[in-house]
Amino acid sequence: MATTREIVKRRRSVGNIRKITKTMEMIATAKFRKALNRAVGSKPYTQKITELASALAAGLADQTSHPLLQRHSESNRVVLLALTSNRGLCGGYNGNVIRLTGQQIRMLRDEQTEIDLRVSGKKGIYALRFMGHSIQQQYTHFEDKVTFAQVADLAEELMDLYCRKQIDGVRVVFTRFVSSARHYADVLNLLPIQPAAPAAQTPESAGHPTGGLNIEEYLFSPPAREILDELIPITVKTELFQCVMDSVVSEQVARMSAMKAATDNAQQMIQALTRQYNRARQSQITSELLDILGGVEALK
Amino acid sequence: MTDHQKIRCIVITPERQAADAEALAVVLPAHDGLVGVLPNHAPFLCKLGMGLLRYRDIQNREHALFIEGGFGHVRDNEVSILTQTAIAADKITTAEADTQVRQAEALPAATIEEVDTRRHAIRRAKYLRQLTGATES
Repeated sequence: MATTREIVKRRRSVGNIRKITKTMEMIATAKFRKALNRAVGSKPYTQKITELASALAAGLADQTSHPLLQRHSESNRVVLLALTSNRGLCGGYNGNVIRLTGQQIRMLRDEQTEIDLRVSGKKGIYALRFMGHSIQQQYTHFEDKVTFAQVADLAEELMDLYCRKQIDGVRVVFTRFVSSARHYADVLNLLPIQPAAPAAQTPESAGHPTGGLNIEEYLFSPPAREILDELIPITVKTELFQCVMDSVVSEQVARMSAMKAATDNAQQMIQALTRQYNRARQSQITSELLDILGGVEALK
Repeated sequence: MTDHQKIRCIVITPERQAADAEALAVVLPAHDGLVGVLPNHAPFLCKLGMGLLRYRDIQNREHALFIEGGFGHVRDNEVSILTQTAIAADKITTAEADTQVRQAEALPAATIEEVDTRRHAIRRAKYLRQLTGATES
């Protein structure tokens, strides 16, 4: 049986851990609020611009030839971009993305496609390297205050590769944020851009027939094709930015709930240890008492 | 006023929704000049330049937003503006604009791209300063 002193020591260390996890939970909550505002703020923009681009692309489908809209398969090479976090202690957040990335890698290998694996976030880099995948590019600068310009740079590089036909597509594995209770790892085909499918309508846009604009009835300035040429790169950038933002928010949510669970567990452990301690103390007292009584008996 | 036709004017930037209002008329700074939009305008899609987006709301008050680039989309009496920057014109101060002019002029101009960026920044800052001059006088 553990001595009371040992139990006290353990209880104190669990208490210290609880303090740390509690603090981390609060920090994650604060960061989450901030990130959420940004992610939610950028969502309408992403939605609108994607809607517009895909509708316009669908409307111009027969006369457009933007390189980013065309499918090709010369290089047989696909960029797989996994977005993970730099820090751990956020539950299954990184694990889910890494697992999905692994699945994607296996799938692409089965199709005999070459993979250009790019990973953002230390956790993903270490885990995927450990799993024996060779990482072509790694990024650690997509932190919680990631700017549009940082993401735009990466998007531009990818678009450039795609236009030069050095890659056939870009897939992003990231964590999609739905609500603070729901976020899941998901794959997005960033490139080539899919022209609007009627099924891809969001509930808000359901009122408008967005499955391709009726080009004839529109006025364009400058001509539609020029607008599309400018719109497409912006769409790709905003879409990638939204992925990063979603991941950032999800990371904080995941950390929040993981740390909340840790704090609760520590609290339970403290209670159990306290009970154990009381019992140990009581039995110590009892045995001491018995010793004394035994001594008294012996003296008689 | 209520029987008048209205247009919904929505301004969205990557950071936030800068405006969402019912308007009687909207003037967009298109890439090649100003475009006025009244109710029942034909569907219209244009590239935007740098300039002031003005709209008159249903209380007949003028609003002005400084916007920079992006796209304007008119459909079904709805004007959606997707732009990088949207600042309410009355929120820009002369001092701020002056600082921006100075900052822009201090930019490096070694390469062709840098010269371009610098020229653009100066033009933008001077435009902002001009705006504050116009709104204050």
